[in-house]
Amino acid sequence: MKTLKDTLTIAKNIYNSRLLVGTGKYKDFEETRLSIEASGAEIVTVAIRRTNIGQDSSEPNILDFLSPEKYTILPNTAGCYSAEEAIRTCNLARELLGGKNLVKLEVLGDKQTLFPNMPETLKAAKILVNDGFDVMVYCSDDPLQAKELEKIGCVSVMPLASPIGSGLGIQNPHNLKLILSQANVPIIVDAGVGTASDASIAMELGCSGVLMNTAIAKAKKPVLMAEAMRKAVDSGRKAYLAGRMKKAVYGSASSPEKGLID
Amino acid sequence: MHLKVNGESVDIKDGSNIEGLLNALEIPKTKVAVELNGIVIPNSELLKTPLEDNDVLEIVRAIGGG
Repeated sequence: MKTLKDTLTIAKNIYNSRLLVGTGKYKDFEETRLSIEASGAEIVTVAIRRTNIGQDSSEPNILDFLSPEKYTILPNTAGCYSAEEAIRTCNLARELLGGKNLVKLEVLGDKQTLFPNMPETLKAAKILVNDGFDVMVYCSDDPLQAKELEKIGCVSVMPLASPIGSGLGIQNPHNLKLILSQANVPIIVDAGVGTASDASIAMELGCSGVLMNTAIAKAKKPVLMAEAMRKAVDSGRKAYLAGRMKKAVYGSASSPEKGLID
Repeated sequence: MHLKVNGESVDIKDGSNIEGLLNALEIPKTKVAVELNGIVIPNSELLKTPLEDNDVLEIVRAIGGG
């Protein structure tokens, strides 16, 4: 039997890995590099920040450790609280990365929960899509907002599973199911995953991928957790494709009852 | 001339361009992007873009983030 290769397509690029990883909160660039390698991720997020002036001007650049030839670099708009700031950041990121159009849009609404500001997110998404950006968008797990972002033309819709960096896991699988049931673009869980089972659950629900940072970077052994996450995403995906058995109220023996000795 | 770079005051020789500014501030000339008075400078024109007194610049790079 010929098995078709199970790949993820985002903005016409084909990926074998469904795990996307961030590069923040690591001890150093070496730990970042080793963890990302162990995760098998092909899409890697970075943040855009002011260059230090007059201090550490010779410090290494993260792009020296993450070759844009090897990885798809996904610049984010983390820390932006308005559409305007997010759009400025995306325009800077595009020039920084040699004209690449792929961006992760996130417009935050609140410093404590880091929940997205959806009106500003929608506003920024419209402008960015019109400007030729391929927008992967962090959003609330509201099916109506997710659909709206798809209609605007975002290449991937990325609802949170729980607050960014919280590690609380998949708090509302029902909402994710509703989003998945109507989606025509890849739905990627972005934020909230804490451990391997969380990633598997997201994939078993039918998500196209999982994006995580803190769950790996803040594990006691990040490189080992990166490997666990790679396997968890893969396992969850395979379980989804395999189609799980139906749940039953009562037990059902696996061994035949016929031929039992007296 | 006087510039504002990443929120800080910077004085630089009159007639400098962005390349001169990056040199003066010891900022690497690759893997950076610059916004000049609110407008992002295309990478291809970056280094030769002339500067004027009181220009406001943002110079950014990629760092670790999620």
